[in-house]
Amino acid sequence: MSSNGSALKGSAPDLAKQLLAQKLAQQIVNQIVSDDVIDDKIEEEENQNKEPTCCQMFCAPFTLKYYQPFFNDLTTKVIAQKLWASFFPFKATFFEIQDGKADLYGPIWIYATLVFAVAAAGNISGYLATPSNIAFHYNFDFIPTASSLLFGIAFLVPFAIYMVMKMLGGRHLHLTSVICIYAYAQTCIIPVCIVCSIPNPQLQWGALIYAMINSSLFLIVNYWGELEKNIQAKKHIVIWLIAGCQVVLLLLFKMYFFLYVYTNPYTGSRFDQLTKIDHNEHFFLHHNKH
Amino acid sequence: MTDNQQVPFGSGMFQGQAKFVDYAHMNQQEVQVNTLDEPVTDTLLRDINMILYKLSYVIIPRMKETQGRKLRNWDLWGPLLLSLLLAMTLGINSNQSSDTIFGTIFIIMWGGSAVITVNAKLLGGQVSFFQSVCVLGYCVFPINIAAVLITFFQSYFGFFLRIIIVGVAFLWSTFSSLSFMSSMMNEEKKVISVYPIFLFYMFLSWFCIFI
Repeated sequence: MSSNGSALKGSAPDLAKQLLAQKLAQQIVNQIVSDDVIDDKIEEEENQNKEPTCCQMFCAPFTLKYYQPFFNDLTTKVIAQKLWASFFPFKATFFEIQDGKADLYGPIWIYATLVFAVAAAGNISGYLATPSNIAFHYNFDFIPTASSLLFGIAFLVPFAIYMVMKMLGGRHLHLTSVICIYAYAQTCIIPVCIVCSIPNPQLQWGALIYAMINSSLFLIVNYWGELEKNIQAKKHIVIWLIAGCQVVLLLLFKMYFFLYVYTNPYTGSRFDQLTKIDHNEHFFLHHNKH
Repeated sequence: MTDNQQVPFGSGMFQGQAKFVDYAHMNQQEVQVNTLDEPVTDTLLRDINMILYKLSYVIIPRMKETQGRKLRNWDLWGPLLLSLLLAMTLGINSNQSSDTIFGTIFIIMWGGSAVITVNAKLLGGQVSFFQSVCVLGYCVFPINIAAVLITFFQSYFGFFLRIIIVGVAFLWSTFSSLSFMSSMMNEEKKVISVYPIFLFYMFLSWFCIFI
């Protein structure tokens, strides 16, 4: 900056000048920074008074802050109460827990546990059902299928129920609260899956029918107040919709995950006669195919 | 300019001025830029040492807050290598669905870590996103060891021994990451923030039993 080029050299007056120059520079920088800060504050206040822009409204679901209200004040005790309530469908106490506040913790982790339970139980029942002379191949396709199915219905079925109820005159409904209660209704399927890992068909049907009745009843009983007050005459539509969705879901479970799962690796047929396959035959057939 | 004792901020980029640099006045960014000069093996060895140092923390889980040192320098190389190793080890054995396995494990590991971290943040934990993903990724190491053992020594292990090995690996992983996660949360939210981690490692360990 100065003409001789080097810093901190020279006599005392030069040194004093340089120190003063540094102090002035520092003050200017401070002033600029604090001006910026004040400008930012003014801008923030103005933004708070303005209406949200179109972009902010549509981008809100992609921010974390949007979902914060659904996780506030959530404790282990509250979640445990809700899970416990889902096993007793005849008492309409779900909306009294924490004043009916919806939470998204339940849906995410109940469906995640369900995916694991169904995939594991389906494979265990297949393993136990395969006779000992046939090699069992773990079916990894259960996991993507189960997750698509379960996370798909997690949103679509509550959406359908919400739209139908709203169209028929229901009030005091929020989409998130329907998603929440629908997820807690599926909790009973988790122990049912564990029971279904035993490959006895009658046991499996019995357990799945129990799950269907429990989950449908839970939803219907908890919405009974709403149905009676606001929908009255057409409440049968909602009841049939709920029960129908549960029946379809559990039929899908039985027909895909808990079917007797021996799959012939060459023909892909699921209902083959059980024949003895030894390694020589494997080799021979493999070569014959190509 | 070259007679100046103090090097201006951006000049680290110009290697020609490096010889006049006064190290006492250089800042962090300029020190790191000079690593452009070093041989590739040095860079790789430094990264590998960092990964091994963190893996040693996983092998010996510590319940105290002394883990703070490890957490501040998160890196995603370790979790990437571990997830690739796990997916490949488990994919080797299974003939017909190795691509499903690879994809599933990759998605579960990275998607799962992200969801668990977001869950912990939303429940009020003071946890940084990448630090948490880093810890969850590194703690998969015991499951990796179990998978490698089972893949390469398959003929020596009966079914029950497999379950024992995988069970030990699962408990080890969960315990390692617990010491990190549970220190971040309130007492009343501990169970609901720890359960997802339990489910995550259970998912990954389950694959090892049935390859």
